[in-house]
Amino acid sequence: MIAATILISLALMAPDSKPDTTAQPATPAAPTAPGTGLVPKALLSGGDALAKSMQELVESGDVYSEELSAMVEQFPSYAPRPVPMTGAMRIVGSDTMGPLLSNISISYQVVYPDVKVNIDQGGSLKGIVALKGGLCDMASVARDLTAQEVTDISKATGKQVFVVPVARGAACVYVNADNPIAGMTKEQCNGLFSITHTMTEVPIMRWNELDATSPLGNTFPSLYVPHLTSGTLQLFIEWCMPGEQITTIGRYTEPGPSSVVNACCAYPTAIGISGYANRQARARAVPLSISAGQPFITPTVAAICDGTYPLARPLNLVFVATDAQHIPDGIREFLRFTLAEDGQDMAAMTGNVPMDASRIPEFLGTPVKGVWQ
Amino acid sequence: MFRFSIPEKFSQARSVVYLIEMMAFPGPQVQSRAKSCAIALLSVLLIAGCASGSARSKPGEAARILRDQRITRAQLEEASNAFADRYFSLMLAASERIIRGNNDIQQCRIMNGLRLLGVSSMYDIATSPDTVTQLVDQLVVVTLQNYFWVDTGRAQTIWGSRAQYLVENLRRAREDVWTIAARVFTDEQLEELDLSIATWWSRRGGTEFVAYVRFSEVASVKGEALIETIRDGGGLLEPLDRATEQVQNANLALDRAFFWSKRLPLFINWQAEALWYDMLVMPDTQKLLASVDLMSQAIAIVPERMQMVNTTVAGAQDTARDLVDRIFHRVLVVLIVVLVGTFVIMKWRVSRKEAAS
Repeated sequence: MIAATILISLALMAPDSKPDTTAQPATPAAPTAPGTGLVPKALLSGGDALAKSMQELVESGDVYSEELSAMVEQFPSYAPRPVPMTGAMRIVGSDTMGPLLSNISISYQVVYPDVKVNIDQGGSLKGIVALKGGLCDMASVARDLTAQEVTDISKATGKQVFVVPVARGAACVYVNADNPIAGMTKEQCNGLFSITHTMTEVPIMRWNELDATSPLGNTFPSLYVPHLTSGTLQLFIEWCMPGEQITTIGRYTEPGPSSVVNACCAYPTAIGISGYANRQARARAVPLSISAGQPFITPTVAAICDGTYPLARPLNLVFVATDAQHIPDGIREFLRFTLAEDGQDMAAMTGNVPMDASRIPEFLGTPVKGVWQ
Repeated sequence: MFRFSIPEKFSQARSVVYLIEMMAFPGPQVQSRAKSCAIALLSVLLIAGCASGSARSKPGEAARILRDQRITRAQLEEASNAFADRYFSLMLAASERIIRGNNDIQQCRIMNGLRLLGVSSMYDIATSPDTVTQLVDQLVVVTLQNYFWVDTGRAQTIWGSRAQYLVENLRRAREDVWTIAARVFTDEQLEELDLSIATWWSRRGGTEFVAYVRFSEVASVKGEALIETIRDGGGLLEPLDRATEQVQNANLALDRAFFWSKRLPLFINWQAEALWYDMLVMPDTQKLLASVDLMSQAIAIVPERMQMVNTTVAGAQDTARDLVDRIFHRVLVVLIVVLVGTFVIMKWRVSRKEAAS
């Protein structure tokens, strides 16, 4: 009965299409522009205006711009080693870097089928703790490490700490796409998110206190944040409320960064903290300014690359080794793959900004004729 | 379109929480008035606490609570079924708001198709054999629907301002299903689930029919391992030995069939509507509708034309009457002239005869 119902439903909905339930290919699929989803194109043929707007939506969903493409092409290609790699590697840390590393690991395991790369997320802090405790081979940290953290890891492991930026990103303050707020200053962020709000006389609790002309009037903003171990949230706290506690008033802790943005897409009164890579059409990253009277900076590829956006950050892979000459082969090879065209292609595809090709660490070696050998 | 969704009681709760926060983390901006209020509030809470005479927790109680908090398979089955019903209600509420009074057949058709596929998929999952798989499948479908319809702005593109009902209800479904999942999975397992879905979406973002994607596809081998771990007690679900599991499965199979048969009539009319909308957008129907439309337009013109004819006839009558009047006048004038002429001529001849005689 169930099967019959489903078949009838499918037959009714899409005479020309079948549900795509095939297993995903092992090889990385090309970035697909969003389709018309549940609405097969044939179904839209009757409504020209609707079909046109859907087509515009498909075209606007192309996140991989020529600007990013040019950056990716700066990186060397990757040629697999003649002797295949084997073994296992565990990377723990950033939620923001999760999809990026997961995609890279899938492609890497296509090149080296005998290598098992396990990606666990839970926040940058979790990665640092795991690396300190020897529970992982690399930590993914979506922010700069503090000098204290580097010292702590070094002390705990007795080894040198290596920090390799593999992509660039930013922490963003998201609101609903229909929210017309022009921007937020550091002080406003403090007044909104901090319990002690040391930068403002009174806490900011209503939309018209944040933006006098807001159509939301005196409604309360609902604050959506990732969990406290998140590097994105830590960076935001360090920027606008160092040493202060994040408010619990109207705050919702979400299971992941995508869920934060999803809340901003769905609720008009929502405001959330998430990564640049998690941006979506129905959520808007609010331009930020370092102080009242200073210009608002929108998080764009250019602003992230030149560091003018206040919350721009590197996305790092961190590991320990005795010294640069004794870096484990597995780690070195994985980093080369990540800092090759394939890896940076994944970075752009997952919504991040590729690294600066001139900043490839020397200990990874030198590409020969543009190819990692 | 903005909507004021936060209830007033939230405003009161917010003020109380603010006072408590200020007390716990006093900053330089704390006013003495706020402090006094906070102390008064704390006193009230303490008095209320003493008056209730609640006993302090005994040693070992925490462990017992933790053990008791482990969800059983029967509870999970109930939660999964309840979620399917909740999803049905959310979709029904959203779709009614979108379809009612909407003259756009395409919009109605797509909404009807979405609710039909979504709800049938959700009940299909709820009646599938394994309880843990049910939950993760529901979680995957609802999360992907949020990615697909809410985040990308597809809902707004199709339904415009009407989409807000659907968008908010899909988000609520996501919140609900993740809350249920938090009773079964540990934080790490939830993070793994989130990563699996996000990774799959980043590679297959253009996939159609998200309602029919299942966890086995999203998480592949890793997902199977996760489900096995949960079954064996590696999460917050009560572990069960395989023999007992089979007996329970047999019992649950009947319940599931009953559950499904009771709910099928609820949305069977959606299938009829789907057929109706399909017929409406078919090219032949469109042609027929266009012909009917033309015919009705023609019929609508008839009274106007009749009015024009009436006006023309009335005009012609007036013209004719005017013409007749003018002719009559002329004839009358001619007649009078002839008569007068005749009279004058006869008078002249009579006078000439008299003169001659």
